[in-house]
Amino acid sequence: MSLKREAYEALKNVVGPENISEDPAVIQSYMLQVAFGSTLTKFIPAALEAVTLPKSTEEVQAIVKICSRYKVKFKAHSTGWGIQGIPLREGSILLDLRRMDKIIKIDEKNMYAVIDPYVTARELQVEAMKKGLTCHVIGAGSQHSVLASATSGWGMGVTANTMSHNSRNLLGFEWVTPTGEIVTTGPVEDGKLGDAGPSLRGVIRGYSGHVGGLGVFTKCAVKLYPWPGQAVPEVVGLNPRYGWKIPENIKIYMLKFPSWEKLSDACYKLNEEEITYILWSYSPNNLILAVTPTNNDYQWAWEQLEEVGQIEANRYPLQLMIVADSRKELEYKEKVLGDILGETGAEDCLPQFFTKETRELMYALFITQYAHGMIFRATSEFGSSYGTYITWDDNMKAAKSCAGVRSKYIEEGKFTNDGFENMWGGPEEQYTYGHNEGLFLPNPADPESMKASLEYIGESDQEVLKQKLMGSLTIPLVVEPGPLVPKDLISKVSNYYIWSKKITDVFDPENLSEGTAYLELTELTEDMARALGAL
Amino acid sequence: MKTLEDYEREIYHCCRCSACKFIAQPAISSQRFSNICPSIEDRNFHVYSGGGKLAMAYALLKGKVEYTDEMLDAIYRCTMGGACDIQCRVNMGDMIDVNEILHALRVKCVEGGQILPEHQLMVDNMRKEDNPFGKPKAARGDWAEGLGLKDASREKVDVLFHAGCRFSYDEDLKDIVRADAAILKEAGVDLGISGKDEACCGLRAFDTGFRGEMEKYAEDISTRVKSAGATKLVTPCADCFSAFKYYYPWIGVDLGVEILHITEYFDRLISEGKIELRKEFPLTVTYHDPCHLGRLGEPYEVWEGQWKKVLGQMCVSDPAKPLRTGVEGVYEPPRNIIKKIPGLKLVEMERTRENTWCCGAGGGALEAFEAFSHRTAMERIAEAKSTGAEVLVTACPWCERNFRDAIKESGEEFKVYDIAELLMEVRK
Repeated sequence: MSLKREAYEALKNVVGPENISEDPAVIQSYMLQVAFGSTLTKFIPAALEAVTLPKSTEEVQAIVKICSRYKVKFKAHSTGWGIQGIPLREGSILLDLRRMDKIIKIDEKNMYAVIDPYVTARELQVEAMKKGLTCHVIGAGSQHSVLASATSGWGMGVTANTMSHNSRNLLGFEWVTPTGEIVTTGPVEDGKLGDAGPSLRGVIRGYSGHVGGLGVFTKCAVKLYPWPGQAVPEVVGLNPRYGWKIPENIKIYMLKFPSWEKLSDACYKLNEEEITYILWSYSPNNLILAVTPTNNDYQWAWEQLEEVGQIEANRYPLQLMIVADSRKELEYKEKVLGDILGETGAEDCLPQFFTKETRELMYALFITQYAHGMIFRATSEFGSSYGTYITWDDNMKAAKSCAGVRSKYIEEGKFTNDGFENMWGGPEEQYTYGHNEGLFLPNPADPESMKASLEYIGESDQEVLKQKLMGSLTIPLVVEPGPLVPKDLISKVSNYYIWSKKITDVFDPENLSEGTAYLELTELTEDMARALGAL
Repeated sequence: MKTLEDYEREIYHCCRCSACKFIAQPAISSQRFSNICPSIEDRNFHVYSGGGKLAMAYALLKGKVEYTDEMLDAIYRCTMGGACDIQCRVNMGDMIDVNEILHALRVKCVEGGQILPEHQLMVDNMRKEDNPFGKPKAARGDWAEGLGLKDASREKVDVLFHAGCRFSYDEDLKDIVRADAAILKEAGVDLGISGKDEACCGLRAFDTGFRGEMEKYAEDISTRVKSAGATKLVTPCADCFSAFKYYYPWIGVDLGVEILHITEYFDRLISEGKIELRKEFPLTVTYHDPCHLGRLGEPYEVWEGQWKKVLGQMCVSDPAKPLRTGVEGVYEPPRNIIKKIPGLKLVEMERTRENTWCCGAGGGALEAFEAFSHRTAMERIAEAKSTGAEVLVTACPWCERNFRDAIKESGEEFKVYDIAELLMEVRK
């Protein structure tokens, strides 16, 4: 279904001829994407007809109104990493928001920033740090769009214990609705306050966002947090593993525990005392990926450690960071920490790896999340399974039960052998609950591996639900709850997606704005459905 | 040399992380100067980035696209400065050689007849007169008139001094290359030049997809180095330095001598006391790292291995591939020289060393997209001015020419010096 000439010309009049393209090469460049294991191929069949580069909210509004007039489906992305940023329905257009990249305001006193869509986490962070503040950086890493995670998607990263989840960091937004109205809330406008009590925030994003299916967010206000480190961290190390010098008031601990239960206990105790800035669990394979610059180095390290039982011995890892504004505060926190770690049997994790230099690397990595793309290095894709958002004990249960399910795929050689659980998760807001997901490493160049990937995602979802643990809610991947996720699964997560769809139906009665979470098989071409594993 | 088809596995490994668009994330000091790719900064569509061009190349391999003007614009509006290549290493390690793939893509274009007329003209000039400007080959050595330099075509020399095309023919820059040679001679270096027998290094042709031209020039200089009996090949041009150090080994040519950029040699001679810095030169300067001296000035090791799967599905190179990260380029010698000059104060820009912002002149961009090339240069001048420096210093004639032209066209004022000009000031 090709875009009507009239519609294309109208779009061109809005953005200018140099900011719109229907050239196949331009379009195809957007189609090599990652999908967290939920497609059969990384090279997605192109469904979109044109790419636009609007510069302002007014241009976005004009584009949306043209789409409404001509019944053209559309989707906007900021930095565009991940299949959830690309329109998959035939005849769509893409709004690439790269030209909207201003940090409009950093309010030091009230600790928030107002930003455009293409402001990356690292860019906001670096400017905020100069004022003693920082922002939450989600697991997508330093190059991701803060606005995208705050308004439209999921969003937690390793500083969640201090900085929560980006759904809760959204203080206000400027929103072009699917029918082209502009709605503004919160301190996006000077003089206006953030939301308190029931607000539009729940409607426009809920927990996991509408992933582009609710029009276009053109600005947002996000919370900033105190930054205890240097205004301009001193860079050490060399490409590809840069680090930051760790200042005296910050301490990093790389720990392991004798069991999941002890690890949970430690997390609960630490959060009762509220002494950690970062509290997170990267599995050993992710730590080794972080420290090694190539897969060859990783293989060597992995095999050395496995041979002497060190992978098993470091199976329950925890990383944490404490910060302080004074020596006394640091001493206090170190003492409390020491007591808790003693009570829970903590030891140093992989001490042979965590030298001064690698700690400096981990410090930079924790704060910026800069090398999170390294997880793609192994096979060019990573999968994410079960995805729980519950109390920490139950997160551990989910990890354990799914480890058993995925081990068969590792034994069959369909996934990379990355250890027992390959967990990625941590508590939030110094509290008892948090997020966990089970990563795995399928190979998109191997069709059998990708078939296994889709099977495993489904099986792990079923597994956590069997254990009566909440899952499948945390990552609104492509076509959930479309063709790939059974409807009975949706009912076990309170019909979340169905309620979300009811919201988008109100604001987008023509179903023009594409939210990846709501695709139905009938909306896709056969090629697309096949690529997504639905046929 | 591999074809684009040979890189299919690598291209498919791209995970669309956009690291190729920015300087190394932990090294970012401001949003203003966080970007590293001039192409996407100029045109904004993802296809203009390193990763975007990889995806486009994949589509070409899979028959999803045919050549169009827009596609060629995306392929050729690029200075081939190597930034995307080394930024990709952070997440991808040795899995993707972006620079190699972009060159293979251009070779495929040229072999398919998809050539920009400006590039064709440049290569035709090289074929006629052994330089990209089409200026008479017979006049190539004229810059050295009166310096009393040895003719390396006739006499044995320890150092073969290769001026390069830009220095050989650019009247405005002639004093710089004359100073380079004169300083070396005064320091007691046994150097000679090839004069009119010198030819282009061929890198500009290679960068625009004309692989064969550089092979020809590599063979030529290899012969001249050997016949001169030289132990060192010294050049004041960063492009030529990169050709000798990085690109010639890639195409299998080992010149068999020590290859030095003039700044490396000056730094060495200053340390040995053979170059005296006699005067003070009070000035605040900032230094621009040329792409071809830094990240593309690393020694290149050829890898002829294969990819295999280990630990189930993990991809590794066999044997292990050398990891090029840009850190082995020439960064400290120019800075050492600056720091040793009495009165000079060096203030650094944010994007330095392997994270340098390109001057805009390379990869055929200056020839075919002058406005883009100049905009890229002015972005660097803005960064230089932001340091509070009075002048920008660099060590490449192509950078210098492009900065000077861009500044003049803009109507702004800012001085650009070569390292040799600083030495000239303090040796009077």
